[in-house]
Amino acid sequence: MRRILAGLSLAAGLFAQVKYEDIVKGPGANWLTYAGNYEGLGLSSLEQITTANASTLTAKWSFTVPEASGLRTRPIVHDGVMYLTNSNEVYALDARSGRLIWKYTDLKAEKKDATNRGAAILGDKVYFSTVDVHLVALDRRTGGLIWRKKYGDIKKGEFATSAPLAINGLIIVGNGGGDVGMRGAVTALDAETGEERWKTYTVPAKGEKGAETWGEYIEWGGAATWLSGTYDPALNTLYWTTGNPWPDFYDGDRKGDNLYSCSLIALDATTGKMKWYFQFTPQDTHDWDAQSWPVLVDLPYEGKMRKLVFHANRNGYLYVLDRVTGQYLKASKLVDKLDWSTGIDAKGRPMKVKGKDPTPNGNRVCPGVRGATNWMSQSYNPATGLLAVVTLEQCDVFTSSEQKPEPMKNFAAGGAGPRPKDAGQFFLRAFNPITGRKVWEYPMTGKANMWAGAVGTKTGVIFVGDDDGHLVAVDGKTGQHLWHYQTGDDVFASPIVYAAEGKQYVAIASSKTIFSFGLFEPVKSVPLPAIKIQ
Amino acid sequence: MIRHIFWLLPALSISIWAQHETKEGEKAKHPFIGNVAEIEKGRQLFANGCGGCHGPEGGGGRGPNVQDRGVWHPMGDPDMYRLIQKGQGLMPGANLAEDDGWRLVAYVRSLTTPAFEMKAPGDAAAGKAVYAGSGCANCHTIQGAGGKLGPDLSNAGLKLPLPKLRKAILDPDDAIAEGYQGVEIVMRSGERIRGVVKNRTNYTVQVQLGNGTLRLLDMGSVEQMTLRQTTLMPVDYTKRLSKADIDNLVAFLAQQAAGVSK
Repeated sequence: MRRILAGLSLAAGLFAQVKYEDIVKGPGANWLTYAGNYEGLGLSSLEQITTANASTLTAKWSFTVPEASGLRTRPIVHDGVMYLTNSNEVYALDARSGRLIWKYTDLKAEKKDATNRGAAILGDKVYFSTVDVHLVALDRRTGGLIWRKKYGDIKKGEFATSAPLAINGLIIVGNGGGDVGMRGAVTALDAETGEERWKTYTVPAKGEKGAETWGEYIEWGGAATWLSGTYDPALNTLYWTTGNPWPDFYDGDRKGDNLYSCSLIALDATTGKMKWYFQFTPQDTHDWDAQSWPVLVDLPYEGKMRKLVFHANRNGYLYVLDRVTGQYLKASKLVDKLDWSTGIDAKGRPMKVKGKDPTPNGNRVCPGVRGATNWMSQSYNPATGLLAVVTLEQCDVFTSSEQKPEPMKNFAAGGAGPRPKDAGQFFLRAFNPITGRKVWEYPMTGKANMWAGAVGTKTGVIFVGDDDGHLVAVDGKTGQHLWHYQTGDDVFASPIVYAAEGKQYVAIASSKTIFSFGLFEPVKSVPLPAIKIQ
Repeated sequence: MIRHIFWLLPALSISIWAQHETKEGEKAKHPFIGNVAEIEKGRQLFANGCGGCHGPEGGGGRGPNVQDRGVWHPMGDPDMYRLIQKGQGLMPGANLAEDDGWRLVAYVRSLTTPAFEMKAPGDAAAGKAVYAGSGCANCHTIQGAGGKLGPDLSNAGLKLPLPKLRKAILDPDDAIAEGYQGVEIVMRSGERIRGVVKNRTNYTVQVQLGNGTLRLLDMGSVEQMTLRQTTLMPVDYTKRLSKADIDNLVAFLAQQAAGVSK
């Protein structure tokens, strides 16, 4: 017996750790961070699947998450293991077969009813957030709990759904809850110990600079940080987006710009100090959170090489900013249905159309409450200069209420939704953000019900979940359909591309099931081995 | 009569469930609850009386399994006391002295309360030394450190009640945790692979080696696979360790509840 144990414990081979430098390199066989790489390009370097052979893709495996309803997870893949999340749960699957390796269920979470967008990985740890705002570190090999650290408070209206972002020695997390009153923050925890290193609030405290842009309810102002951000390692800067001011649909108690809601904020990754902010929608009354991807790209702009950030915003505009200074450079329209502003002025402020705020009797405004786009993933390909964005053409009727706000009581001072005959339509659109030109679009059928995003490959294929439950492949240059697969369910998540044992896969979660696809290969008959029970 | 009891005990469990939560038990915790000495006395009372229907260790038989939290949870302690003493349906009342009644409540509670929340006999600090000196870490991991052939114990104190924790050490063959069946594989190439089976179908088998490395093997490349029906864990800890050592080891494992403070 002892000899057997000794032999087992000395089994050969290393199970490689994830280094920060591995994440910096960007996605190859591994998909190590929520957006694939720190810059948020959503672009894989793998080359097996091309526009020429994508039509032969076939389902390789699927895995149904038993407790799931509306999975939002975008998995991480490392060394042939896929890590995906559900509310308060992490699953480790074999990325080639879809078989379960381990499952972690958080036993202590005080709240369960929410979604989860994904995990992070660094060293030997897999990280995810519980609904009750704890960062959990798990042993990536066993799923064993290493630590569980509180970084927010559900008793103050916060909860957590976003994927953490792992950078060099730090895990960066955000919070949610901005529709019922809370205070947004970005928090950095030590990757090894979970100790808090810094916390930057997205709504100033009373008396601080920016507090004058709020009113009586500043302590519950919102500006939640519920989507993982992007990161520029050279500038050591985090780019994080913030949500709506609270209460969502009535601004009578918050006269001013409501800083730093509906903004992109640039934070020093070491200290959390805000380097700059850019507010897309000052004094928002349409629940147009800025939660969409800050895509970091270096390109010539007006004859000069610039470090840029693209941002497709819920308010209907696609922005180009200087990511060193936050300087506004350009905005162009994402959607045709846009009537709340006549454009963006030279300083980057929207030129609002009067009479477009919500009213007690309802006011039709475009885009609708879910925005021209949202948190679904995007894909930028430097070879084509095109940013693929899922967009929604929809108008909603917005109502408001002057009722005295009550935080944490499911109160948003109004609501929004489409008229029955005014339903929206999703499109995958490819924009050149520098020229502002829409180069192609792929219209979707469906009930305007999805949250699926896109991922691209350097070989020019773009995969996107659609509004009818498909995963679709299109040509990244033209938008031409190449392939599709019906998942039989709604799709609320974004796809990834990875490889295991030298074979390329693309994976996406439907509402309850994760699917993985690869190029067709005939199945060989499997001879059964001699099996002995001892 | 016995047949009637057999059929009615499950029905009784439903009626208990239907009583719903009483906060009474939480407000007035009896001093025997969590008291190791009284729990032991309760265990003896249970084995000699209740065990006839509920199994000698509460694992169920003709009557419901009371190790299963769903049977009685969230009944409060006073309700459980009254049920034991007076009975319900065809379950006879125990009619014991008051202290003995509470000893039974304390014992039944201890069957399902996570070890972390109990006062374990033994010294956890000494148990840490037993853990280190007995080779446990060759196969088990606590907070990232250790082997991968046995279940991760980082959260053992939250997952198992004290009796099950102790049984897992003294009688590991009783229940092999899912994902930890030992396997030895001979590949068609001649390579030999030994570890634990994480998952297995007719087409693939996934093996985790002692250092955590995962190997997904196509069955077509497997010549022979030997699956162990017995645990990889040594089964002779009752001989290797003294009673005090075992108490200390249980106390140490009961404290494993990563990220949770007592």
